[in-house]
Amino acid sequence: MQEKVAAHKSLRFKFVLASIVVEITMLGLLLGNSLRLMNATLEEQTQAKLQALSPLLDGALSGRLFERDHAAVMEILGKLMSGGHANFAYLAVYDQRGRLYASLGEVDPARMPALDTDVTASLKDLVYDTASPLMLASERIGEVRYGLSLQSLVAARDTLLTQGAVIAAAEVLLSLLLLGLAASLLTRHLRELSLATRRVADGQYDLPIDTRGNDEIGVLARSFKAMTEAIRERISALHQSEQALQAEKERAVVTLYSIGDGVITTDTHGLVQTINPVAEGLTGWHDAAARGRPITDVYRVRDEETGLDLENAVLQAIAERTVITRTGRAILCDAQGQERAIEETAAPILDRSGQLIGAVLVFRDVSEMRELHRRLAYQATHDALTGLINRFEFERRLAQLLEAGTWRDSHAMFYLDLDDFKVVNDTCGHYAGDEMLRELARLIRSKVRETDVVGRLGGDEFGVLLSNIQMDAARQLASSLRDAIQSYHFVWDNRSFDVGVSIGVVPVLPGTGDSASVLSAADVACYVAKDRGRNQIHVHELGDFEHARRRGEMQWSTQVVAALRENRFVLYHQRIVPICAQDAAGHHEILIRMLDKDGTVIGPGKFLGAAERYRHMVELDLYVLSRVLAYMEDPTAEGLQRLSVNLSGQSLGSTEFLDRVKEMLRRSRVDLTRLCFEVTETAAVSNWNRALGFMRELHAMGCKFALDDFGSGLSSFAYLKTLPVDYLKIDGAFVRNMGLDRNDRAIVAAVQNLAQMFGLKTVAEYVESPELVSQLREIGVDYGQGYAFHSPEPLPHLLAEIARESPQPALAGSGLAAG
Amino acid sequence: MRVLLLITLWLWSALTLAAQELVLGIFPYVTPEQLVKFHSPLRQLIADTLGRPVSLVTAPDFKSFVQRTQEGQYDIILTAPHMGRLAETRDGYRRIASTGHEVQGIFLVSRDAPYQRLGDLNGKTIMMAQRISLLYQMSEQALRKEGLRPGQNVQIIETRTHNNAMYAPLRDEADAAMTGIVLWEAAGEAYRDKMREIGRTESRPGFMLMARRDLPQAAVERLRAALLGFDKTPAGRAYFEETKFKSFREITDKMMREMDPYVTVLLE
Repeated sequence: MQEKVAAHKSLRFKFVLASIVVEITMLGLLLGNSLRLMNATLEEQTQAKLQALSPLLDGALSGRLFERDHAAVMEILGKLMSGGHANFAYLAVYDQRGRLYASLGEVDPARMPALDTDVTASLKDLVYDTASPLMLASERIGEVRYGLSLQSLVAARDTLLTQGAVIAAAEVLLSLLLLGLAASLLTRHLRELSLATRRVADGQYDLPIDTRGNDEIGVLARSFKAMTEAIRERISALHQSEQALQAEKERAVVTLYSIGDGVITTDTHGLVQTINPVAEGLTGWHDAAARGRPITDVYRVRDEETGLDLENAVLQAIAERTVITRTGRAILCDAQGQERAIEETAAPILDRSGQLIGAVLVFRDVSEMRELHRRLAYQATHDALTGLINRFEFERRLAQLLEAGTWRDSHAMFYLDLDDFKVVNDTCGHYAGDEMLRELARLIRSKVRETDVVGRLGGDEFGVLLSNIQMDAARQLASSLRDAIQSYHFVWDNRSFDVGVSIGVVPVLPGTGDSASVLSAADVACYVAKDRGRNQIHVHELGDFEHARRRGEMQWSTQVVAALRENRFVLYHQRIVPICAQDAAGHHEILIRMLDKDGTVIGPGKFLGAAERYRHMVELDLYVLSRVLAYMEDPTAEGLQRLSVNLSGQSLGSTEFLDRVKEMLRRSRVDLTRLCFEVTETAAVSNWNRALGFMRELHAMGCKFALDDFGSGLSSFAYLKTLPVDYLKIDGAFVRNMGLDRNDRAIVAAVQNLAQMFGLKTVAEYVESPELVSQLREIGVDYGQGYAFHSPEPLPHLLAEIARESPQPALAGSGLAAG
Repeated sequence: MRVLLLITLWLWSALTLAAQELVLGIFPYVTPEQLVKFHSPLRQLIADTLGRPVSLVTAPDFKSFVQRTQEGQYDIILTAPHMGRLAETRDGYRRIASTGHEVQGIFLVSRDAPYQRLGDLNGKTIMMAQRISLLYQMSEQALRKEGLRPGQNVQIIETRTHNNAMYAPLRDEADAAMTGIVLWEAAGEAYRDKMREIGRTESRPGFMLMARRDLPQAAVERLRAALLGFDKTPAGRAYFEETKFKSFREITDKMMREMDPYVTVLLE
């Protein structure tokens, strides 16, 4: 719309008006000053005339007055009155005494007008009334008073003023015309520019703008043109930027809608702004319904354990201006009341200046993961066979009891070792032995108090933790338990077996020792009881350790030291065979055996416990590693893809061991990527910091790492993100029974998924049948190890085989000997 | 009672007289400017002596002065001696004093003029004051003695005052001038260097100071006494130095009688 400027508000009008006002003011001042000057001149002229007249009158009249020559005086007065120079209105001559001597003109001698002091006072009657003394020889001989007519002077002044006013008016009129013309010419370009600005405002940027002229308007026109072009360019850039922003927004929306996690954004008050499809599915709220609603309506979470509502992560993130992450116990309740385990992260959204503008919530359904975790956690603390807690958990609860109690509390522990269990295993097989163990576990559980803790501590070993019990009562309870087991008959394939039990009883007194010492004391007491014959109960005494050392593990400890000294350890190997993995080269786990002095091969189960208990594992691991490196340096071993060496927890925790291993590896010519270390997750976790350092350093040198017995001692997956692990070896306990137990199969599958998630390869242990191989292939397990593929055999055989055969490994069935 | 009345009348009369202005008329022998300049001390003396204000006046010419004297317009007059004689004899004025100088005419020509004596003025023009003046009459006598007859072989140009007549040769208004010797002596050196004397008239007594007859005799006496001693005062000496009158002296009958021949012209 074209805006018209009112004529009286136009620049031209203001310019002309201002100029005219200034001019009129100046002319007024000029006229005023002229009037003042003319009045002053009138005064000066009048005074000058008076001064000129005074001596003339004096000269003309004083002598005649002195002579009292009235006729002459009158004649002089007449001439003065008729003369055209002075314009006398009247003349009156007075003698020395002030008496009127003669007068002429329009005056009443009796009422002579007062004398005027200046011209202004005489302007009323236009006659300047004044007097002049008549002097002779400095003697005043009379006075002449006369009226000087100012009419001609005033008329001249008025004429001048009138002429000045007319000239001023003409000048104003002329100025008005010229200024109007000049203003019109000057503002013509401004009008054009004004029109151009309106067109620019309407979006028309291609305007013919006259930029000629070197005056300020010309400069303004050029500046305006430059500005118009700059605006056009910037608007163009803005459009491009807008399109890019729109495309970016569309990509962001597509991304948001494609993302696998639920995403909700809110404003600073926690009101929902966007909600992606996954979030819709998880919360049960549709986008349209959720928008604008408080986040607490759409997204409600509670604590998995307590059932109480959790503080909303979005509101917390807004309030604290920090990222809130919950991975553990959050349960999302959707609009239909369905609950899901979730992991959630809420973060404040800040703009470039750091101002809070909203929040974003990202969450995912981790129900399956949490269930797996829960089951793995259960498996980590329970014995899969009997359902009792395992040794690890038993030790934890024992430690808990020791730490929580006071010296006044009295607790006790039973260490049970079944007598003649091996008979059942050997005659009826593992399944029979397992079944008998399950039944005995139920029996033991039924014979102790509800509050007592029963755990499976080893193959045929059980532990009972009795809280708040005196030793006499404990002894009685142990006796009744022994009697119950003694009375128990196990029937398998119509055959009946009797079993006995040796029970070691030890008091548990808070503050008197750690769990290891208590467990050790109970173990020794049990050993003493067993040493005394079947179905014996022995309450711990101070001499038990000496007895045990003399008769038990101490012997094995001594044998380990001797065997190391006498080089009586031999290395075995067992193949690790690809199931779903594509590589075919040989991968073997190194196993250890001891040779008795008579040449009998002794399995690791006999001496590893003693070696571990009496801290010979570092020495033993170094011995194995040096032997393996020596083997691998043999040119015939080049066909071996990789050898895995087991490391104990003691070695992992030893700084000296790390230094010595690094020294050995540096001296070795072996390609270290062919060397793999197997560590149990329990060992790694229990020596976390040192184990992490150990693994990182060796991994950096090229060595591989496998996490052994994965699933058996697991409490969290978090460490998988941190540990430099390449393989997960699935605990054989799950693999062996997965054909029969769906839970075990689910766990194996979950571990496989987990490994995939972390980019790790899996190795299934205890693969004892072709059926298991098929199932493992279905699940996607990468490698297998067990009797189904290969039975352990001495390492020299491997080298001979490699030298003899092609690199293609052969499948052979056998069980894993020991790790 | 009558004494008291007389005292009252005397006092009233004296107060009235004291307040009444006296008019001192001086015959116009020089310009009014010079008259005032010369005789203001005399006016002041009279005023101081008589205790009455004195107004100094003159007349346009000798004739008017004589006429106004006759009309009694002047209380006191300082006049030419023959006019004084007429005032006494015809108008009743009383003698007070006469000036100490002698009235004598002097003939003057330009210093470079070719005239050496009065006889050289034959056929020439002489400017002198009014015909009724004493000096005019004494000049005619002097000229006649030299064979010059005014209106015949010498032309008399009459002017209003002796002062005006004195500088006529310098203005080329006349070949010679006749004026009073007193005026010549009082003229400035500038004029005296430009002119020279070629003849003189006889001398006669000076000007006469006379009082109208209504002026009380006591006042006349008091005034005479003051005048006769005036030359002994600083003001008097300055006055006489200015006017060249020398002093005031008694008017004798001889003085009066000598003036009778010159009175006739005043009565024409």
